[in-house]
Amino acid sequence: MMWNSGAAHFHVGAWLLWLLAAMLGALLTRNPLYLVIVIAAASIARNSLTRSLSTNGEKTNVTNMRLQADTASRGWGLLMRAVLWLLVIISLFKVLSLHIGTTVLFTLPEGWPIIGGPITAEGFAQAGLDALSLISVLTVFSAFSSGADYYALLRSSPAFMHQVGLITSIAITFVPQTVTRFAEIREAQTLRGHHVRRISDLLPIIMPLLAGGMERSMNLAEAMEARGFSRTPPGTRNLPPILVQSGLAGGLGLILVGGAFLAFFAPLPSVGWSTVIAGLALIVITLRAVSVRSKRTRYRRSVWRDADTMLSAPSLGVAIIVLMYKIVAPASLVYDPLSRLHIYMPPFDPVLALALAALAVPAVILRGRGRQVGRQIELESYSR
Amino acid sequence: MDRMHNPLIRIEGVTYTYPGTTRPALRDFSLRVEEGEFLLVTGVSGAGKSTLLRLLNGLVPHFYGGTLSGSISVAGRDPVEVGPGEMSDTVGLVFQDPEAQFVAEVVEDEMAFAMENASLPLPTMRKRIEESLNALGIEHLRSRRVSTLSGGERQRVAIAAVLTMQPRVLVLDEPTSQLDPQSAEEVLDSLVKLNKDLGLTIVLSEHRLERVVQHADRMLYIGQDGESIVGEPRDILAEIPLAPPLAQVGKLLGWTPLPLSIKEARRFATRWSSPTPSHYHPSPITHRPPTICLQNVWFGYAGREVLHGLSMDIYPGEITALMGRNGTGKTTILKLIMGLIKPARGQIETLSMNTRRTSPEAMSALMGYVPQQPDVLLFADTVQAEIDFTRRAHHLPPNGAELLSSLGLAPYRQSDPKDLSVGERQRVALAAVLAGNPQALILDEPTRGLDYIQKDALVSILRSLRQEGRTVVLATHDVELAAHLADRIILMGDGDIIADGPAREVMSDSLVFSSQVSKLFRNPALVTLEDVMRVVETG
Repeated sequence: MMWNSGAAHFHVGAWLLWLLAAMLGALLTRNPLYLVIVIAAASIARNSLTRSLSTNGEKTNVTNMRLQADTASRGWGLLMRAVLWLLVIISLFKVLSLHIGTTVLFTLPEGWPIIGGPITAEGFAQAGLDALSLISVLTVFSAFSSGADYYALLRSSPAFMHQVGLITSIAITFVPQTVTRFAEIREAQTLRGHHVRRISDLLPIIMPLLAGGMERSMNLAEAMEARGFSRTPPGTRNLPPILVQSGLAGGLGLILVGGAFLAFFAPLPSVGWSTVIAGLALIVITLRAVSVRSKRTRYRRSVWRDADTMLSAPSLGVAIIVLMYKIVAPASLVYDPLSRLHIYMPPFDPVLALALAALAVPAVILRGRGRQVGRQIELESYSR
Repeated sequence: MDRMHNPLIRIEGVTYTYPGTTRPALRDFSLRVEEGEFLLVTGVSGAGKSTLLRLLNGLVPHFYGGTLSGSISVAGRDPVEVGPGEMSDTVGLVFQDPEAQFVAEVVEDEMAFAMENASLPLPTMRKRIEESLNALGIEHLRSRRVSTLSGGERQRVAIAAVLTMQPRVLVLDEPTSQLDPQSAEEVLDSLVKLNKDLGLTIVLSEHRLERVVQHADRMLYIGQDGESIVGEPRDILAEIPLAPPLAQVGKLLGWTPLPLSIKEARRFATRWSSPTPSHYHPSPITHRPPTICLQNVWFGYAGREVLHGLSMDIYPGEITALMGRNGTGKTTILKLIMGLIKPARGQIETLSMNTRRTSPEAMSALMGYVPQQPDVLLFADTVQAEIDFTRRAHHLPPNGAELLSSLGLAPYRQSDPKDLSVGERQRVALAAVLAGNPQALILDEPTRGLDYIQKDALVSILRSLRQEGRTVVLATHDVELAAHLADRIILMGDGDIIADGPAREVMSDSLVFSSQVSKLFRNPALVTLEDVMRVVETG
């Protein structure tokens, strides 16, 4: 069974390159047509990634996989829904408070605070555009995380980030679990006759959630401890803790001072910036000094396959094309009815559109691979 | 018993008290374990089993704090002195909850975690991961995501992950208590193989003795008072109150040596003149009108069909057990009955309310649900406050003294639920639900983590509810509980009913979902220990 099953679909490097290309597409364009293409391409990639993950699981354990997929997707689904609602509210507020533009749809009484005044089509377009560009970033990130192997990502991070990164990667897995548990608690309390009417009614839901989270963290900490997480690797010469602490604290202090300087003494930005940079440098130097002394080894298993080349070549192409447009013809990337004060057709360039559509390439690669895997499973069941 | 060499584990006169408590969790405790031994640790809940296991790698007292006296040595090292990190080369500890012990997403990375912490060179890591996967027979899981594994697979991965450190002793804290019977069997088979083939020393704690006791070389029992006895499993089982049904039957009928497996018991059973199956007269079923009706129900998650045209009726004054492997649709059925999810097609009527048209809030007036983990419900700081909360939600006058005493919770009325044992918390959750005076009670896997004594308490509570004519439905893996309690068993397989009938008949006709006594006699008249007792009494 040599096929790469579900774990990591692609090499970390190739996958990061895809993220780079997709993020450039989502962040550098402010044009509804291109943004829609980015969202569509990323969604296609995401769907094929999650699907190929579940079909791989199916081979040994259909039913459990089904439950797992259900709970996980319900968790993410809830989270995404919450974010979308938030977006809708923010956009509505934006529409009602932006009174710029020539195409007036209707007018609210001037006496109303903030929302009073003309409501314009330009305002709608602007709010929609903002929402669209946020959604595109979210979709790209959710596609990335559905195919990302955080642990492999972590291993390719510099040594001094290892501890911090590990904690972060564990924290990420806590999010969907907490959401799922929240749903569980709410169901159980609802059937106990509980309704949420006031803030204080949240107590029966929050308390078990917190207690459960605490218990989980304790169990995990114990399990990590039992496998030597906090042991000092042999051959490690530790820096005196006071040195590390003062290095980090000093760095943070410099950043804060620099930030304050930038905020309050605007005429002298160079002083502020150089203080911030000095602070950052101090932190990096301290962490590096710690990590050079750490003799922790890492287990690497990433293999660069043909599929990774097939993914990274087009990703690189997309990134370069988007950057070229940004440099050569930045206007074609942007749709800005608000500053032009009237509604017009967004600019559209088929070359750029095609390039952005190519962000769906993971789906194409996985589909090809899916066929191979299917054949392999058949062969295996014959040989039994 | 004194030998020239040192035993692998030596604990002498250890007394340990958790911080913030006055009663020691272990008192003047001593134990010796030889290399290659399989030691089964058992005892009532809260007797100190988990504390003992954590003592072996230094998590007690390093992780928990507290005060400790006495001496411990494991493979010549002192865990109290060197701490859990260093002990990870010597002691591999596997925990109860397969969900809460993983740090990585992929099986292979999970296995490398301990070795990375020990800074082993890459070639060594590769070799040991390969070997550990082979030892557990899970090569095929190598690059799977942990979240896609079944409970049994996860536990085997957890075992493989600590094996990579090549420990001298493998310590497991109730590793199968969260698993269904087949998954538990997979894990135990792997452990027996490691013990037999590699001579690995195993210390394992467990509540459900029926599955493990036959594999253990010795057994340690810690009583409520902290007194411990250790010896051959047969000898210990003969003395202690916690014994699996098979051993209880053996004790009752005076079989010596006490049988530990069905195989050993079989030769006694054939000689014992039991009533022939013809003695069994299934009592004519006189159902009252059903309180829960499912008609041609279809349901699916994310494009996958879970139930296809399922129909069933559930009657009041009966206890109905839904059984079957994980993921066969048991939880889905419970949720459909409670109206938490709506069927894609078909109708469900619960207590003459159509779930499609009734909100869960309205259903909660007549129905009670006890989730798998009681902690999902409990939030208040006294037991009484939990009861009052439910009563208030149902617009009932505050009360509950009678309820609490009927559940044996009267002395804990003002206690904080968090300070109670698993079994007690389970009963508090049950009390909190029963306080709403529901007509139908739904329980999801109610015996997780309960010992035999706590299970008996639960059984008598549910029986009295049946007596009152309420409808009780439970989803469970626990065949002994179902044999003991259920009037009717519905066996599920991949979304279909594969067997449905009086508990005795389903049990005596099933290979897997069958109690020990039923496996032994294969007779619908003899399914539980109580049945055997009745036959003995009537002669």
